[in-house]
Amino acid sequence: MVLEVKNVSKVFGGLRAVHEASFQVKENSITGLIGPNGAGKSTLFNCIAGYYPPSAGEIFFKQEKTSGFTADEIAKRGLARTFQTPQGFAQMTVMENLMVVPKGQVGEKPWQGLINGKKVKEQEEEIRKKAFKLLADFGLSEQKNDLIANLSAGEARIVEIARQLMLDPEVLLLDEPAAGINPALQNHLIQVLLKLRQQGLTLLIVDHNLGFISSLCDYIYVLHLGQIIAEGTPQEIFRNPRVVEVYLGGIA
Amino acid sequence: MAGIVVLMGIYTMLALALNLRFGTAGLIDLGVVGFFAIGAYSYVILTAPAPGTADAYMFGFHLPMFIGFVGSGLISAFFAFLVGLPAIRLKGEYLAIATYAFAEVIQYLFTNEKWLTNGVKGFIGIEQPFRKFFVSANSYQYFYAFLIVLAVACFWYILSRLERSPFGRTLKAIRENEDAARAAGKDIERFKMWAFVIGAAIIGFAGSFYVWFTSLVVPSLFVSEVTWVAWIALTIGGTGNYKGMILGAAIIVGIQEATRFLQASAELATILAASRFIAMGLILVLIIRFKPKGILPERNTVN
Repeated sequence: MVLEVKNVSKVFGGLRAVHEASFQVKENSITGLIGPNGAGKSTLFNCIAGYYPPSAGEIFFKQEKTSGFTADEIAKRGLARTFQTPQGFAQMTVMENLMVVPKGQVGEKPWQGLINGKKVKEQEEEIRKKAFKLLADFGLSEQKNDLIANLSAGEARIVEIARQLMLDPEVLLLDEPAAGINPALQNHLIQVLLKLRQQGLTLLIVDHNLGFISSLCDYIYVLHLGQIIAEGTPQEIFRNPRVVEVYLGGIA
Repeated sequence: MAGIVVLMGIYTMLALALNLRFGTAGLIDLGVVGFFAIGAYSYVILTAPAPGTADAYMFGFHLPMFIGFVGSGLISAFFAFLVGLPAIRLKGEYLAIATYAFAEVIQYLFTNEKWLTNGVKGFIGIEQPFRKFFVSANSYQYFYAFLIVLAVACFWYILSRLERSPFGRTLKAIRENEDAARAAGKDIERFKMWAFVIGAAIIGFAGSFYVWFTSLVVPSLFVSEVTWVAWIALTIGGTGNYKGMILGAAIIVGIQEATRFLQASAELATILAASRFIAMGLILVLIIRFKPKGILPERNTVN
């Protein structure tokens, strides 16, 4: 198990957003976390990524306890996230957005940029090549000099994924990746994600859209009112009466 | 004339430092004058002769000028680090309030802690670098203006290189979107702290240059006007554009000096002194209305 969530709870004031949720993500799987709006998906997601500290429980990434770590420490360890509305460095180009990300850039130490110009330049060249290749893979080569602020929502989403891949992550967390993008681009996105899995990446996708997630995932967990109420393959989930009740409303 | 160049140079240094802090890293810093004062006083205390009988200050280390100069930057940077420890996490306006308060506290401290700063009497007759090679004060003025231009060129070179390095790129990313920068594995507090500290070092050095120019240091030199003027120079010239900063500083110093030279009667002089602020305010409003990114705006880099 590359990612293990054990009895995680998150309380905001009096509101119990997540209550003793536990689940696992297997290496090289595409795992889904679904639930209706307000189920606590994004909260749980933010706990995993280090944006909120869990109120109770533990999270393990590659057997290391990461609950309590800051978001940047978790990202550096290879757990990359995206956001529900794509976030980017708006007044920077697509290429720059990607080039910001890699770890261990010598030039990020201020004095190195001044005294170690050659080494910095070499590394920049490598990073540029890597970014260019990723953009080419995603069919975004032509947009490389566009500002993020000028991209369409769909393009911004794909650039965000490409940017996070510059971290060389082992697990990619996607928060509602299909939200707000048109069906044609959704298909492109599905192809992209399947290809990433082929390349050995593990994906955890949070969504409330059953259709999108079931076409991708090997295994699904269902979150309702902060608790995991069902788990299984997409077929099992569709047949599960609890899930049907939660999604379609109980029989009055 | 040489004096105007010197003042322009010093305000350009402040604008350069502010540009790193605000333009690149997005830190709203209203404490410029605080670090400026720390730099100036550090230089003076490090180089001042031992106190005479009429002096209230206890420490005058009488060290060589060069050490005083290096000290002015380092001590200012160190204080920025101390201020940054609690403050650097503050967002936007909260950081502005904290840094503004810091600068005010520094001015009060330097006024009241006579054992350190000699109070309102301050220090006078401060030696200038390479002065002994010049016969007249007048010819020295031109040399000093040249020295300032050289120093500005130096800071310009260092800062523009920093800005174009991966360090600068990460700072810009943090300015644009902190959440995304965190998701990219960046320790944003550390980067902001670097920008804050490097900015303070440059402001501290500018303090030394200012002391050499005025050849005296009193607390009343370090009022918040200095901070505002640096901000106005940066804003009207163009945040993120180095030529813009020099232009901004030139315009501001030009306004200040023009109103000074025009002085005729005592009555008119008061009016002119007050009109300085009106003119600066008017220019600022006009620039923000018609060219919100400044006269020379920042350009985006293309790969």
